[in-house]
Amino acid sequence: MVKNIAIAGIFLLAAACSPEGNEVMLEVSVQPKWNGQDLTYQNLALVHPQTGDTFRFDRSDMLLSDIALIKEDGSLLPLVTQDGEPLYAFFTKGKPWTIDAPDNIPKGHYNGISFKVGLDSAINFGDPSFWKVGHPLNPTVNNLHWGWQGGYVFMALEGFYKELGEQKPFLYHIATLENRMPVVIEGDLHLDGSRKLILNWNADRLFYGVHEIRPEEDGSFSHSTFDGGLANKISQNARLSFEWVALENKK
Amino acid sequence: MRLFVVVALAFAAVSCADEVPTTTPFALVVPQGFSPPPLPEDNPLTVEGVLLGRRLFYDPILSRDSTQSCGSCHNTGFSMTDNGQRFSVGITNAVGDRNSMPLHNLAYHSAFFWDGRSPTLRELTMVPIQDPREMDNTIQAVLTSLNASPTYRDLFWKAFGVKTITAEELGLAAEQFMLTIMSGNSKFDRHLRGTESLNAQELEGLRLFNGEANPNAPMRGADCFHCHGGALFTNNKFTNNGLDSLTTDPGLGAVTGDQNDLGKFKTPSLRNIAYTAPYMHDGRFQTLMQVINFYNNGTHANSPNIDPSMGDITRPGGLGLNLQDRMALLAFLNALSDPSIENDTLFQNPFN
Repeated sequence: MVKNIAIAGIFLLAAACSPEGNEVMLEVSVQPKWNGQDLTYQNLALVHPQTGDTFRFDRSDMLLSDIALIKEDGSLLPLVTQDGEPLYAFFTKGKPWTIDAPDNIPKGHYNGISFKVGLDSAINFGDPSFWKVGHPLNPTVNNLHWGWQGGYVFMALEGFYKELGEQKPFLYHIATLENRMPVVIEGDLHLDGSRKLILNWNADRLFYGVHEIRPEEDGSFSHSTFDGGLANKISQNARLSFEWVALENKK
Repeated sequence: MRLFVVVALAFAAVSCADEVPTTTPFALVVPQGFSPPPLPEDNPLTVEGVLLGRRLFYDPILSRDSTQSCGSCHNTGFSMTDNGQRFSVGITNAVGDRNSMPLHNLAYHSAFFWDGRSPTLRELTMVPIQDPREMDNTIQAVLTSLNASPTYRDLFWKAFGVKTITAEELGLAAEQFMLTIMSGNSKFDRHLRGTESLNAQELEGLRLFNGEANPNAPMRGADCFHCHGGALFTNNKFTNNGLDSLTTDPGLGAVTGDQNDLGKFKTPSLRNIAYTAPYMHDGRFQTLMQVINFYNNGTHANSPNIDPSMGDITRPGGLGLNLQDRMALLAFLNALSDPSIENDTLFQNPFN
């Protein structure tokens, strides 16, 4: 009898410790693209498929917040850290664009993923020194904090474009609450085990979609103020710049 | 019985001699408003390590003829730069070609020197020792000298538990000391804390500093914050700020071998900038007003690899700051001076 109880206990313990219990992990991997190809940086050879403009990207940094799975009833399941804190992500060139949600997601079927590029006001104008070493919102990590007055830049796009054969700089710093970019990506997100969700971020779509943006005509600089609405137009395009690619078993 | 006691005492003596000494954790004081610094996990700060690093920093034993130390070209009175010199002069009277960089808040940096050649402070330490234009020594010769010194053998033993000093411990000790040099108590910092107030001119300078050089904005700014923003007053990037229309010094490009990096140099912090003249990687500007005038109407838009953030600054006509604006900006930059590096005994030469 005692032996049977002990064996059952061991099985129960093993099941509880297993990462394939009732909760699973999800890795979200975002692939920066230009016109279907991998986005290459510092290369003045990115020809826009719609406008024909030629670009070179030097920087495409962004901060993601409110990362959540879309439940079948349409409500959201916010992804949180192991400590129950909201997940944030910072993407920059030269480093993996990944969001690692720990094994605290209930198994089940979800209708997609949503997040915002940018931050809410409380976080945006909070004390940036609050964030621990290595946290996506630590200014030393993301280099997107504007100092004591302006909060964070949500998306920093910098590089060059060709105008009459000449290389000219562009810089679009998308910030402020009205330019926060909600992104909703629907898809069959069946999580019966730990999975890797692959998304594309299509940088070329920053320049078309809702609005066609041509630096030569529409402006090559914006710090999100006094720009005739340019940053807002880019932010509207950016909302549609992510797309679902695949859901894979996590290795 | 007597034999047993002798054996036991001998055993105890051997065991004590081999016991790695206990170190005392060093409590780094991070200035208010700064993020927690990403300290190296494999080199925890200890009192023994920091003080040993300071001693090494100021000891001319590191140079071939024992006449120069790190402190020779990094003086606390000049925010750890070289006494107002444009270029530093080494032990053979050879002259360098880059201006000595300030050493503070280094815990937040991930690449050192104007061209970023050293990814860590421990690696940085080895460079001036071996540079023929600086200390003109070899690491092996330094280690021979250190290992011949009973004082250093004792200090390294207490700090790192090693009986033979190697380059690794030399670098770790120097790194520990440099990591402790924090600066965040300027008048501007005290203004932010509410313990002191900037005057009207300094406040106008602050507005200009954080204002965009956007021609459409109702009040045009000097656009300094893009590269020199945040608590550290630097973006820690490598940037071509349009100094020259032709690249004369490859800068980062010589380190990475990438044409796109030619002419890029580390963006220096503007903290303590009033102490660190002359300015730019080659010390070409003697005064801060010369620097302000350069940004106001002297940048080269056609400079290869110029940073995109310079776009608004390099427009025809430049920033368009009048003398009053420039004086305000200067006043604000002067408000970034923090005398604590000069005054804190932790950073002083222990041989004095």
